[in-house]
Amino acid sequence: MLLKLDRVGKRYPMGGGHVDALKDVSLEIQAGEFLAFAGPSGSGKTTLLNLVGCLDTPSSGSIQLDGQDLGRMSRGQLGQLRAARIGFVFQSFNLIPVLSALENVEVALRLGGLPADLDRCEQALVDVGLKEQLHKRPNQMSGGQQQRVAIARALVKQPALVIADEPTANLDSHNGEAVLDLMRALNEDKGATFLFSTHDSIVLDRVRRTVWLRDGVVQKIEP
Amino acid sequence: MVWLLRLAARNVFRNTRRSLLTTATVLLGTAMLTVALSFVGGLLGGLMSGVAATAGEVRIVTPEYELREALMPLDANIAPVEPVLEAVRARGYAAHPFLSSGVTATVGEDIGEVFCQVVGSDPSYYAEVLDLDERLVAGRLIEAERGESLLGLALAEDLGAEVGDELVVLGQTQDGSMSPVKTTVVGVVDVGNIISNRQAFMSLAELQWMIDLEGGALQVYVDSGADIGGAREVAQDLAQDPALAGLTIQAWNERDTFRQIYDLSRTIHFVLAGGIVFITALGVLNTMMMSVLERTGEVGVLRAMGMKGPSVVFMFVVEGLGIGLVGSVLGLALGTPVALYLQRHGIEIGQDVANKVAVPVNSTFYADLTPEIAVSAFLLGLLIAALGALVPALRATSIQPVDAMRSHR
Ligand SMILES: Nc1ncnc2c1ncn2[C@@H]1O[C@H](COP(=O)(O)OP(=O)(O)OP(=O)(O)O)[C@@H](O)[C@H]1O
Ligand SMILES: [Mg+2]
Repeated sequence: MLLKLDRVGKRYPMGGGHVDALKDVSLEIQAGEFLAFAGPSGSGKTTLLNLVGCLDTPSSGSIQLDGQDLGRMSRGQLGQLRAARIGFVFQSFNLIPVLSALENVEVALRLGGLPADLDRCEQALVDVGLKEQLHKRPNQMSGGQQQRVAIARALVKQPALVIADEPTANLDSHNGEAVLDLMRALNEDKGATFLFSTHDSIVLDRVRRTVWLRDGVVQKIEP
Repeated sequence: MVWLLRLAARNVFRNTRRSLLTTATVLLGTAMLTVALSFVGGLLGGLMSGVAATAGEVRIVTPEYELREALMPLDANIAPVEPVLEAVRARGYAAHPFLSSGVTATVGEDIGEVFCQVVGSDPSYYAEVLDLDERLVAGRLIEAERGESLLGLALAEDLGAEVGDELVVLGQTQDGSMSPVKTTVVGVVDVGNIISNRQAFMSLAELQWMIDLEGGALQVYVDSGADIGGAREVAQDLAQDPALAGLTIQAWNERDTFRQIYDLSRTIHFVLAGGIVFITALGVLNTMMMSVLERTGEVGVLRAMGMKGPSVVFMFVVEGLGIGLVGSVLGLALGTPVALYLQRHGIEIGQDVANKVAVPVNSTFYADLTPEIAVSAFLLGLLIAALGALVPALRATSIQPVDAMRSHR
């Protein structure tokens, strides 16, 4: 088992009181899954992704990644785990505009403490279909291409887990479908685990499992 | 680390307009520092050499005189002074015996109206060191052995004295008895500063007689004719002379007054440089802060991927330094010709103002651009950039990875 969440809660201070963004979420996720957190706006999808992505810590309950209890780790340890084992794809791509596609991918290896193997970076970009765009800067590429660079950047360190928060929100449907199909193929070929948050049917049609959230509570899991 | 440097360097060229604005700020700071520091340096340097020139590059006094200098002790004297003068001259330097004393001066019927200082020295001191021959406003220099005096311009006005008048000064002998001296005013001089212009100048013999110090002097001024920067070596050389044993030999910059001016100049430099650095650093801070805020999402991603706080600071500070380097070089390139112009042509403050200053100064102030000033202006330019970048850089470390998740451009 890759991830095990046990009665996880997340509480944010808000005004004088607080908001419970997540309440008693219990969940098990296997390595190699292709899974979406779905639900209306404010239901807690991003909050949940942040927790399993080691970007944030739960207010209650426990999360285990590969059998390690995240709650027992220091901030520094979490950061190291994140750098080495987790890949991120963001809604707004968040590529570094002054670096080429290849260099953007290289940054992930450097920050992950891995040798900056340029062949490996190039292969990651070839895998997402950007063989011809290696030396282009983000502003010379389409949104779909930029998101592919982001995917290559997330996958190059062969992470245990790829987190993607609304990866299609800034793409048109054609590019959205292409990006999702690509990730599905990478999931099948390389066994990479993908977790999404989304309300987009493009994503929901392609994931193998969907966890429906509402007001911070798991409503149902499909299938 | 190298890749981070490369990233920072590329960020310099990212927002051209903003980088130009930052460059201009650093440029302005460096240029102002170059001009201001060399001007203040020149001004104070001129001040110091002016004082050094008239008060002796090196002076010789008795230890008691130095101790009680503020009281102008007439009994702490060098007598006879001739062996001292000979010893100094034997080593190839010019030597002038010097006496001075506080007196009340009277011209005509008024009695004891004006308090002033009377100076006694040899004709060569007046002609060569004080340049009085070029500063005569009326009359001529002292020629006779006794019975003649020169008045500083301000003193002459206070006394209402003219050439040909009879001047009576009431001084003291070294053991404290009253000692009147009567002379004829043969000339009026404008020495160019408020202290000297309130003095009366007489022959050495006249003052020796007044103080009852025949063949003696209170101080001996030594002039090597070389640059005043070498004063300490001259003093060291003289200290080896057995004929001068037991006397206090001081280079001008070893004396308290000069140390005070020196400290003052350090303080002025510090305050001036600090002020310029602070204000321009604020300007850099402003533009760099915009860059940081604009890159929230990007910094969040880098943090998510494992970039540590110190690396974030490094990245932004290096970017600031990169911009600062260009600004410093350009600032120096702009400030240097201005400073050199002021070094050549100076700024005229007018003799009226110069006369009101308490130490001997010229009426024109010249800048003095030294290599040290150029280097410090350049380094301070970098400091402006580094300081200005530091606060935004520290602010950037507070950007959390979740901010990248939530930042939707
Ligand atoms: N940093 C925060 N401080 C306070 N409240 C927060 C914070 N982050 C999230 N919340 C609250 O927690 C709840 C869940 O937010 P979350 O962003 O996880 O929802 P979401 O399902 O991702 O919504 P969306 O579809 O709009 O992205 C919301 O009520 C939100 O206002
Ligand atoms: Mg969300």
